[in-house]
Amino acid sequence: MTPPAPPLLEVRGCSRWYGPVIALNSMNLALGPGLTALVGPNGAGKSTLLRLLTGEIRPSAGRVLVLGEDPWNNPGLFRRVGYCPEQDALYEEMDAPGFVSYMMRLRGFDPAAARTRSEAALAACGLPAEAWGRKVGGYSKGMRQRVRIAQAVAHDPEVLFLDEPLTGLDPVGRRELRTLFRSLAERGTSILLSSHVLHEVEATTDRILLLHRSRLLAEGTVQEIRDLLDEHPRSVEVSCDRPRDLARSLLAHAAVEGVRVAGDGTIVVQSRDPAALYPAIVRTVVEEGHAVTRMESPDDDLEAVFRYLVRG
Amino acid sequence: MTPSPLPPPLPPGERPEAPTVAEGAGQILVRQLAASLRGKRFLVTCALAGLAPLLSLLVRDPDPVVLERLVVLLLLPFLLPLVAVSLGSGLLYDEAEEGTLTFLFATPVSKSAVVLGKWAAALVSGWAVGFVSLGLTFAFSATPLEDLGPFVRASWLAVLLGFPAYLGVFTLLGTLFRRGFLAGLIYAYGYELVVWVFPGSAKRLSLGYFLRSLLEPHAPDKEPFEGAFYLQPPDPEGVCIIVLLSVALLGLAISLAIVPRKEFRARNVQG
Repeated sequence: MTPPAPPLLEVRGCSRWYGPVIALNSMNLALGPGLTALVGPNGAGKSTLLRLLTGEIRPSAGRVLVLGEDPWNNPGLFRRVGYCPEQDALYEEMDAPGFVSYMMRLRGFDPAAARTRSEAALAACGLPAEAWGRKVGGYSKGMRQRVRIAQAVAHDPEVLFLDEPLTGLDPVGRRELRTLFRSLAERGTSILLSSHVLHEVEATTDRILLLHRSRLLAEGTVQEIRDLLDEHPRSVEVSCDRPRDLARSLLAHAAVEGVRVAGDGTIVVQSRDPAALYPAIVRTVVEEGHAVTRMESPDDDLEAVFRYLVRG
Repeated sequence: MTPSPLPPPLPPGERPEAPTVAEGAGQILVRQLAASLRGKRFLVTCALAGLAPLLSLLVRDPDPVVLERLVVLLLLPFLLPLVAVSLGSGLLYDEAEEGTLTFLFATPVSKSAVVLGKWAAALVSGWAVGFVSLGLTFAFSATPLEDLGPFVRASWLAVLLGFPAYLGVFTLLGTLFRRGFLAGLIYAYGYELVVWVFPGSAKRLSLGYFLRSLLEPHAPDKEPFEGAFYLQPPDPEGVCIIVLLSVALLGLAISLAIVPRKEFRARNVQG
């Protein structure tokens, strides 16, 4: 039997202190291929984790492995790894193709290949060709971000680390880059992307790692994590023509823990058994002939899950 | 706007090998040189190094001792370390503060190659400043160079060996300390001057002593060296050359050994 493939990224009992400040606390993690988001508020430890994974800093305790290798002082690993750091820094005196080509040359590409791949990466990241001749020092924040991402993807990395990659971009730019990240993931690149903007993450991927106060709070899909939170009843909002009648009928079901009339023809149904709740609502609506205009669970979004976890 | 396609995937086995130390350092050297020649710090350094030629031009005294003083008391102990500390003390921390070092350390180029490339760039630009400054100081002087005899050759040799020696020290200080510039200034204008007034062989603990030892035997007038060799005569030229070269190489070698073991991050990074 073939042994299971080792994880692409592995963090074992890893902690990191900056003097007396704990930036990352006893983290254990194993990630396979695909697009995963690292989510948490500012200061949660996301950037520290990425710095550990890219060998920029060393763990104070524990171990970090990327593609089976320790990234600390291991430059050879960066033939296969791309990194877009959070800091808004570039060589201001260079133009965009010059900067990305320079990074490609440092990755061992010959001048022609470096130039060709740099231009392709810049185009894929949506930097307008008209801007290529200008120094990056004169670029807007969004354009600079596209250049930083281009240098991280141009060498076709197997693993890509992106620290707050959508910062400074307008909504159109964010959408374009989210599409780019998904395309890269589909083609086999493993991506770990950090963000503190939850709705942005939800629009990018549903595989998440939730970090809070230097600890890993949860990992999995939003749905999986939500399902683990048994102590928090799931809320479902239903807007219909006769809310009080519907509320009364639903209270008779064992799956329903409580119903609250919220006004505007909306009721909020609470349950600890969502698998039974949804069929119960649908059955009641159909049997009693309610005209439902809206039904959704505000608890299923990442924001709510995060709120629960942090509160807990 | 419709996004363009991604760069094509690299076929298996076609991923380029990591650059060798020499190749990586060469790439770093070329960019660093281009950047530093346009940088504000380099321009300020050039302006300060221009002080010796400017004084030479203003004084225009044919007495050889005037030119000797400019070289022995201004250019070598004051301006040369200033150029070296300015170019050498922030090789890594400057970029760490700016945030661009992260890019370099996220490539297959080793940290040692990064330091080597930056050090070589500092050496080339520092030599250029030192030699131009010395050359112009001689050129603007009213003293006929033949009156100075072998002192001229010794001065060129002092810049040739003195700059890398200072650069080695300041590269090491800049690798050890985040405030390498300050540490360098303390070394150049504190420690070296204190050692200057010490009598006896303690003088050998400064670079200035060996630079003056290169010049003193060839100086037509010994007045600028007054007190420099009290109870400790100048060492022979060969010894000076070996010591200065050793300091340059040792400073670089220790820095190259330290850098892979050290974290370089911006001051405010703790996220």
